[in-house]
Amino acid sequence: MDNNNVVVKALGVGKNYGELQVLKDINIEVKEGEVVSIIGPSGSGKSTFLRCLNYLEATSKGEVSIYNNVLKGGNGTVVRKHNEKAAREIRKSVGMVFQQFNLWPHMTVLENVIETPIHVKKIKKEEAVKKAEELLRKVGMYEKRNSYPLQLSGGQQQRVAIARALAVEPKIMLFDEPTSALDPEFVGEVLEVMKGLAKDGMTMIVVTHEMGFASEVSDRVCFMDGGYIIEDDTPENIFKHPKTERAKQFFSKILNV
Amino acid sequence: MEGFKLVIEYMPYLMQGLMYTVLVSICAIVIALCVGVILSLLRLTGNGFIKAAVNVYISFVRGTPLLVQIFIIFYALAMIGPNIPAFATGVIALSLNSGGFMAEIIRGGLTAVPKGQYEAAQALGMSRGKMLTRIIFPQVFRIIIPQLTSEFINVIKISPMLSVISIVELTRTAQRLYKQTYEPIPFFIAIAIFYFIICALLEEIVKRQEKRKKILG
Repeated sequence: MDNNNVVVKALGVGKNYGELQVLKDINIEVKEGEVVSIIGPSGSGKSTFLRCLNYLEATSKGEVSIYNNVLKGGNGTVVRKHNEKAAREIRKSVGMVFQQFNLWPHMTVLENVIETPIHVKKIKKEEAVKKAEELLRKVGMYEKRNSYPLQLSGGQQQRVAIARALAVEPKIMLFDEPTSALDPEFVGEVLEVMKGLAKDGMTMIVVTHEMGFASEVSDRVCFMDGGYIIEDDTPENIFKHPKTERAKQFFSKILNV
Repeated sequence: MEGFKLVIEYMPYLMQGLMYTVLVSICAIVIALCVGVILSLLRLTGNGFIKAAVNVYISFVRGTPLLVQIFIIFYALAMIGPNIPAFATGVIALSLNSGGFMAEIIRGGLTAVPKGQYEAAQALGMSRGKMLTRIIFPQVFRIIIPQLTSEFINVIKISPMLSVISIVELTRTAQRLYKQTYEPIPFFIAIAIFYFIICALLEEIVKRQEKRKKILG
């Protein structure tokens, strides 16, 4: 890989919904094995930016590049065709975990995990099941493999969702506020699984409100506000010595309650 | 008591009528379901022109009397080929009609599947076809089973309309028997009971299926 193993690159990314400019000018590089947390107030565009990375949202301008597959900004037919093709490649190596888990309710835990390996990656069923059971053990959900998602707690569902994303053997994992919809008692078990992943060397981009996780696990923290990344530094520097007024304000509000 | 005897006496005819009603309804329901799914898929994936055409079709089916639709199809098909059996014409007419209603029911089900379900499939790299067949439609059908059952029952209840193109189903049979015997009440009560039993059976079958698959919630 060129550029010092930079695997994710965003260059001048912008996103509008009509008049509303959610992302204005996002620039970031993420290296292989890095864990980057994105924090900031609600409405600052964190989730939107994350969703631009695997083309759940199309960008209005700028460029996203993941393992040299490039998503272009704009909405013309040519651009869209190009992006759809690039997105197919990108999604092979990028897993995503959602705030609302989004497990498929009509399938058991095990079926959720083996669905994509069998039907997208065309792996044999026995092999997929073996791999899935291994992953479910890793996230501590093996005993529940025959349950349906809605029979599980939020924390359990999220751990299954992580296993499902890992089943396609991604090189990068995107987490979109993975603990925000959980009861406080279940946050810890999900963060534990994520810490394990980080330790294994997974490249991770995590949109989160968990400042503890951001400071403890990430290599870098990006602070977003108003559609820009206004600070991008080590956790130590960001939390202890924020440079911008906006970040200082934000931390004083959330850290001193 | 006289009436009861009469019904027993003519039971073979009534049974034949019942068979036609059941046969027409089953064929129509199966084909209508296919029509409904195809219309929904066209509306989901087609370009603007196709979407508009599907919408016009559905509005037309919902906004014109079934009897008129049956006549149109009957005479249109007669122009294409004079030897098309009335049974086939009847099945086509019912399926094209009910298919429009089913497409609307499916549309309702599609909007009830949360956006996150689509996104999870997309993020995992599923193709659009796989996403619809493996993830979305199985959920849609679980959601719309009650409305779909009502529509199935509706097909059975509109099947007597086919008597106008000389399909001798249950209602037409009763009409004939009454003209022969001058006794309307026993025959119409008898076929009402038949219709009721078919519909109740259908409802029961669907309920059992539903219970077997009940996992949402």
